[in-house]
Amino acid sequence: MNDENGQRLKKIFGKAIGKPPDERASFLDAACSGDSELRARLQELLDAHEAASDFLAEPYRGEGPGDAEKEAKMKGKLIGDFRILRWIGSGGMGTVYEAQQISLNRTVALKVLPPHLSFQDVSILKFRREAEAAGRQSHPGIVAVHAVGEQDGIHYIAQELVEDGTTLNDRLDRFREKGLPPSGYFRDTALFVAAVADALEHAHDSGVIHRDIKPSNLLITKEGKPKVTDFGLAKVEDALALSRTGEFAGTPYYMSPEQVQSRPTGIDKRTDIYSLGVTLYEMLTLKLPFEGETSHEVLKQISLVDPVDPHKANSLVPRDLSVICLKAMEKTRARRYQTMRELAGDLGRFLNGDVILAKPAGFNTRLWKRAKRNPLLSTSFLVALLSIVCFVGYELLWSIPQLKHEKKIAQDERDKALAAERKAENQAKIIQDNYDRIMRLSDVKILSNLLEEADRLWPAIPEQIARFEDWIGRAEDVLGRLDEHQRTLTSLQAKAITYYDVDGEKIPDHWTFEDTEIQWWHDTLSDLVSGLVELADAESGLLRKVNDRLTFASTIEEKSIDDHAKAWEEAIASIENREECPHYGGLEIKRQLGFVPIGRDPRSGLWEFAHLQTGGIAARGEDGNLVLTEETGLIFVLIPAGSFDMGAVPPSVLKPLGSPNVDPGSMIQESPIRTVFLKPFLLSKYEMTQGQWLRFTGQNRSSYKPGWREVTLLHPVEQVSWVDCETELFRLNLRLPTESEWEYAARAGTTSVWWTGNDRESLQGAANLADLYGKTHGGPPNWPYAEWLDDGQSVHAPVGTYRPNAFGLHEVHGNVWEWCRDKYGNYEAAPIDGSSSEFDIYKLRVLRGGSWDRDETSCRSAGRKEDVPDYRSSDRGVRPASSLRE
Amino acid sequence: MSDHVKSQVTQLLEAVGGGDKNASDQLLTVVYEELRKLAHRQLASELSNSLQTTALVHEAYLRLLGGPKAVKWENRRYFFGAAVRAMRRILVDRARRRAGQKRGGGFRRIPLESWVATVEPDPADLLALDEALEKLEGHEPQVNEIVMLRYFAGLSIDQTADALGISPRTVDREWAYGRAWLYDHILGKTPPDRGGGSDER
Repeated sequence: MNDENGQRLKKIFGKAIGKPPDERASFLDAACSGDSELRARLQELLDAHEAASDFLAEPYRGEGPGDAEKEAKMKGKLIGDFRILRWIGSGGMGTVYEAQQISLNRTVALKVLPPHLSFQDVSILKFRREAEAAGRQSHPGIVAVHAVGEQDGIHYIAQELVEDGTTLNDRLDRFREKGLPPSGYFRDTALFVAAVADALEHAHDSGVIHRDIKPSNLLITKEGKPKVTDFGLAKVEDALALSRTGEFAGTPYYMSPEQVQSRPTGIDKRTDIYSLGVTLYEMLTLKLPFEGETSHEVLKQISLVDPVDPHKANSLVPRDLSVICLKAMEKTRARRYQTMRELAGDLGRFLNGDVILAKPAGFNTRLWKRAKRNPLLSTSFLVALLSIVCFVGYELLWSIPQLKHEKKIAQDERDKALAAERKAENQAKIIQDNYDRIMRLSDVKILSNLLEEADRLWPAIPEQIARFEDWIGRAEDVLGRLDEHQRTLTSLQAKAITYYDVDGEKIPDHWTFEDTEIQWWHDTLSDLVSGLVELADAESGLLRKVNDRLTFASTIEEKSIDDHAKAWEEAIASIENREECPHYGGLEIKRQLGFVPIGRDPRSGLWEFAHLQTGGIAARGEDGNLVLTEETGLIFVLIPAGSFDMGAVPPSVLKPLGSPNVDPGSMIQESPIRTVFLKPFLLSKYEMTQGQWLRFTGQNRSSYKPGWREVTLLHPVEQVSWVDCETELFRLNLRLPTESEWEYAARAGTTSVWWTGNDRESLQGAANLADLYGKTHGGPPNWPYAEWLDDGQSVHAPVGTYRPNAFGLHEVHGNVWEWCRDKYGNYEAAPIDGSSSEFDIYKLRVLRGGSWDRDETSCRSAGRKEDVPDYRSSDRGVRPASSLRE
Repeated sequence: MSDHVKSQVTQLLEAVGGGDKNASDQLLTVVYEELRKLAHRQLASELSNSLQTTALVHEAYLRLLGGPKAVKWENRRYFFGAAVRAMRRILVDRARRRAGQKRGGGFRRIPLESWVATVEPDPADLLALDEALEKLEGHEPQVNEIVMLRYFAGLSIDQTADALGISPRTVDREWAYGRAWLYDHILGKTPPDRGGGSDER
């Protein structure tokens, strides 16, 4: 066969596979026109094509060590705050270990995602937000997520370890093998699914959708209670499979029709209701509702085929449970239960022997549904249906006059009068009731407005005083009605159905009502009352917090300016004095609200200021150096105005190493070199400490915090995302530095690779990196260590440990990465006036300065790193900045 | 990765585009070395249980051609061409070491149940595939290219089309042809020397 024949073969093959299999033979006969050899070869290839459906379908992934080998290798390894104890299992989503959380000394299940998920892929990393949202769920039916993090590019999720638990999947497999337990199974199933629905209701209420409910994601505790796990992971699985095969992933059997049709915006909480319905179906029948040879076949059935009624398939399945199951699995979302609460309600009714709300799908609806899905085929059905309706209508029309005729003509006058009186009374009551209801509803709205506004009611500065006062006024007003709401709630609760547990004990605080309207009012009021109680809490309530903000805003002028009048006078005069402070070139500054001048640094000669909202005012020792404690607030250096060349290029003949901004480690995104002009600004002398962050935000999420080895609150805060920093710094009336401000301040007049020089050895004593000390003190063996360095620290170090640069800034290189305000992009389009780049093409943010877990190449003055805005990690922190108030 | 190596790669890609055969070999060597280093690191890392080839190729791409920025599509094509060849060589070397030169054996079919689970092919399968691919390359270089991009670099249909500058429909068709051809060659009753078009016939 020559090349021309080869082309012909390929061409006919391509056409043939586009034809239905039964038409291929005749097509080949025609296309080969008597060339029997070609015809035979084509037949072989087509046979192979049919047989090869799975062949090479998954990209090749090589082989690796076995599980036992892996377990032995991993045991005792440290990932973030977690020490691996035992391998539990592996799957497509990564590996699960039993691990010890060192800081809290508790045992957790550590799920480690496959390493190639560590790519800086925005869509993949989005799952973190979801996993974290799920992590905030505190519900006995949801597996608690303790931490989501990344260490050395490895993503992990630490979650509650369900000891001696199993999955529903394993349980069902056992039933399939050994048969169903004899009695009570269907009641247990209803209880189980109701408990899952209750847990998911809780998640849905806080806006979290699971998206991947299936038996393998439902754990069963020792006590037989369900626990839902793997929130948000469905998205990762998709991304994972996409990266592997270009196709979507997931077990298809439990996907909802809207997921199958992959409407990007069309997935809501009702997808979970569907998938839980499928799970219930499988529990009832031990079979999947839709099965097929290929995934495609399964997906087609999910979209088009009605499942077999479980009760019809097995008459032991209670009819009501079957109806509930099919309602949850309705293809049209509007026909399903609309909330998990509705589903749980019907399961509860079934358990109590009450009438369930779901109605079996009638003949007419089924007919209609079929007609909609298959319009051509069932026109005849529609015609038949229409004629039935006409006939029935005709009958009805005739019967009405007859009824009237049978009625008594005369009515008693007294009866009429009495009815009118009763009607008037009722109407007055209805009006009063409605008024009360509207008041209650408006308080619900007022409360939600207050909560929402309080989040934005920042920063605590004098300009905001009127807004604080207005908010407090409205909050006190609505709190005045708390008692009344509480009374109404108590009277409603008297009407609740009483539930008993297995021992016949009354279950307390179980508020379920016969009447759905009362149920709704009860739930609404109950949320309102607890919301109001929370609002008024003397310790942690928002009212107290906004009052604190008001107090701070009202007194800040006095505390930072009036009380330090002399210091400000001195500072302003000194900064303006060209002889005393040549750097500032005669700069005239105003008094800066919220700051207090604390003199000049003895080495840099630059003025420094204490920031009041983040802690106490730092004192200077006899040598003029600052004395830091865990209580000290941020200290800002007044960075002089100036221009500098930003970026770096690799050495070349024209610009050998040693020339300005030449750096052998430089990357393409650090060029072209541009001259940037900056106004004077304030930049924190140190990375923000855990103490400062904790004092202001009330929490310290850092991986390495007090309790871990010798870590104190003087260590830099980490596990803060760009979004966290933006939010909190805005509240503090501070901001992130721009990328050019950062590099300008880091270089502090130098043009070398690091501010210490071009030799890496110059970093000794000036930077905290992944060094020999770290390697020999528990660091992972596979990191790129700077083994020539010994900085005496295994993780991050207390701020101020290392030598400062010419501006008096400490830990510019190493310790923790520092977020910058800019949207990450190349330098061609970046501004040169010191402002931040706002072209948000990649949806990434900038990090600078390297960290304790990297070597010297990461912390170069020009070095840039980018990451998604909501990413947190133990090597990322922040060095706040502020513009000068003019 | 220093800018020096990056600009070297870019220069090599330009030269390959100009038809320089030497540059093509050099490019393969650079990419091979890089991939081998990355693969070694990945396997040394305690957490990986198998080579994530797609990830490796993409990481090599990022390291050798730089971060998120525009790269000429011709260059991308040459790069991916070199990368999958290098990847295949690495995998085959590994498989050969493991299999102790054993040949033969059939591909395991992947049942629907293990759809999401990791599937680890038998090393012998890879050697058979490698041999078959070599044959295929002689007859149908583009089909061979498509199979390698899909199977060794894990590119999707669209990405493959993008990398080769052809339409996704063509990729889809040739991919089906390639898989059928290889399946027939490895498992079919066709004797090994009777390919889709041997030159002797």
